[in-house]
Amino acid sequence: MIFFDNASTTKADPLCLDIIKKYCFDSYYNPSAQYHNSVEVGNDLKRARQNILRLLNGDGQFVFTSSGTESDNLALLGTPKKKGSRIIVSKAEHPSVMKVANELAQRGFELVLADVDGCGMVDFEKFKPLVTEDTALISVMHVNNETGGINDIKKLVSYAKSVNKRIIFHSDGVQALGKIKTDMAELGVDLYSVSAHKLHSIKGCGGLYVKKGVSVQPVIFGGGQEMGVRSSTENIPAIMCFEAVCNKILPSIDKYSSEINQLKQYIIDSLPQDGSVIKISCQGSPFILSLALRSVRGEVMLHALEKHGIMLATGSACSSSKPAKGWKTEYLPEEYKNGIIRLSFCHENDIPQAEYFINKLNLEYSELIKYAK
Amino acid sequence: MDKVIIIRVGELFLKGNNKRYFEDTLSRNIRKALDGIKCYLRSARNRFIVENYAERDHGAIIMRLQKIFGIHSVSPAIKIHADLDEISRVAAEISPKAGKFRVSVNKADKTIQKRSMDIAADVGQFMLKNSKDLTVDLFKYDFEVNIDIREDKTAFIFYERLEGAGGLPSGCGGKAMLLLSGGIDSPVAGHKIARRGVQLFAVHYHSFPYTSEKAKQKVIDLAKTVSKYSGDIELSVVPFTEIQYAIREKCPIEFMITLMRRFMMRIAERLAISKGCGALVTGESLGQVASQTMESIIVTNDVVKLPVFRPLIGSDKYEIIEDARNIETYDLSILPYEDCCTVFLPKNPVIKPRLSIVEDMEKLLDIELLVEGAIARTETIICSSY
Repeated sequence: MIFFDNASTTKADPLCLDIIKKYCFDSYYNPSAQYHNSVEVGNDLKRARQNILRLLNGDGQFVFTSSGTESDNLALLGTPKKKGSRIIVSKAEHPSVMKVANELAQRGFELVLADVDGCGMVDFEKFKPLVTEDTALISVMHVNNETGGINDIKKLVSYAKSVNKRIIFHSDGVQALGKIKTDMAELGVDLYSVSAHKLHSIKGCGGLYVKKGVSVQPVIFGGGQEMGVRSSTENIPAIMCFEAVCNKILPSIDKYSSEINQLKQYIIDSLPQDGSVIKISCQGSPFILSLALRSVRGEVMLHALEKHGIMLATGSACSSSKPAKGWKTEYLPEEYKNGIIRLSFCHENDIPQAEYFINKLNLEYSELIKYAK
Repeated sequence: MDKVIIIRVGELFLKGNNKRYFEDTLSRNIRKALDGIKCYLRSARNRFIVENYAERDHGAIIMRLQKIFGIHSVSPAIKIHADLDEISRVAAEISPKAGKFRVSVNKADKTIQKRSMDIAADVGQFMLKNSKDLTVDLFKYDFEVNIDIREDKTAFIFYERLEGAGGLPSGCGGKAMLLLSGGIDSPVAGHKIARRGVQLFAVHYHSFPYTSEKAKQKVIDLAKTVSKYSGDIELSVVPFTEIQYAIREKCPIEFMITLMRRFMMRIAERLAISKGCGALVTGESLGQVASQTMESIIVTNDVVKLPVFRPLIGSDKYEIIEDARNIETYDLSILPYEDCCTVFLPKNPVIKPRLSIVEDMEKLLDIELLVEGAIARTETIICSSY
């Protein structure tokens, strides 16, 4: 079995097992309770929060949520905005941002979409005139989930702040955390969303970095957990796992990513030279590689490769039943538009797997092309 | 005082000498549907009674019973010893406390001297005394309290009559093979035929890698949903890609659908015969799509000898959708996965194919080899609802 769909989720690190066991069977106490045992759990939670903040080099707060999607929702819905003010999001945003932005447009905000290139990266020159004095919120993802393209968040933030320093800048960093450098101070963002299960932790945990001085109002009300921003009893086992994998992975990003980059480069170099399969991915995250097949549907190739035990995606798994978004195919020649497949890697993938993939890709392509329309 | 459920049968009384057979089949189907729920089912003169079940299972039993073909209606009832005072007390207790009502008594126990009408009057009096908001109206009533006194001195008291699925018990009307595509129509067609007592088998054509695992799972889920009514469905999943490849290679693309449909009918018939089915069932509705024009149906029907039942042939799409919603297959059917008919779909399919032309085209194909090859690789799945 070859899992090339690590952008959709990842296998949990075995170290999670002991942590889950500890916080489900020994230290299972509610951190909001009054007795000694729960105070200890509360201290563990505080430590995890501070540790993740430190690893992100962030000055502010880190709010634990249930997912990247919830973090994006909290960021867009929870920031105070003047009625009717402008919201800018990039055209390549994940539905967890795009759909919230559409909802805000319904509620009377002025939604403006920033143009992107074929890699999903914001076109800076076209972005500049969109940023106006009355812009309240900008959301641009850090690493594109479909192509791996990396937005120059630092540049976008500093331009936006030069127009109006009160603009809140949010970035969806779900595909960035643990894959590329995620230094909050350097990026200058006000809000930054992350998800644990994309990083070999368990599902059900995400987080939103909130820069010092930035106000976020709750979307979920209740017992006032998470500094009052996100009520719900904290998912301690998942939070502690998240912290542990961050501890393990974030300091060694360079090592991981150079290995993955070799793998990605190997696949790119091994692609057939006849134009039957081309790469879409740009200068971007080594962890994601998008390919386009000439005259063969991506979904068909996905199923054909599944037969050989290879798992990959046609796009973002959250919207895999829908056709490719406009921006992604806009710059592709007609005969490649329906042929997009996405490979996404982790440290468990290696060159022999890549070799096997290339063999099977060529084999299946030569079969499928025979019957292509 | 026990809670029981009375099951009334539908058309079985029409069936004369076969009545016993129909009742036995229905009894078997009820037992099967209530599998996993601890209860006792007994038959009692034109009806069945479910008793000795746990209170928490009451709702589930009713829900399952309402889906079984051959059941006309069900009534939750109270079973007590036939003491007249007790009957009045229970009737007042379980019935609504407001509205217009009447009381009907059916007395099989002739040792009770009092006439049925007088018992009804007594019960009515008692209920009126108990609640100010009740009035008697023998004709325009909101509810009817029924009292059924049996020979063994038990009485059943109930006022609700919940509609059953009607039709005939599944299995007493032979077997048929349903062509199940994953669309809206075929599950509805299957439901309609099953309602006439037919045991359903189903066949689905799967075009891996052009159609996904999810598309296959959707069809399994559809068969499971229909099986809530029809009983278990044996689903044959036939790999269809080789046949589509062969047609694509050798024949004009405009005839793709016509030729595919002929293969589907051939394979369905062979599978049907091997399972002892006497007919094929399709969800075709005249003129709905290119393959469902009269000319197309003539050409696709020509390859089979078994009768083909098309219960939706005269239905409009919106009628079919309404039925699909009622039997809870609609939401599954509209899940957006490719089915094999949309693979290699020509831009301009022939709408009025001619049999002789189609037959000439098929001479280029090794039909026997393709059909047998597909059947040999067919996967069988038993789709069971509960």
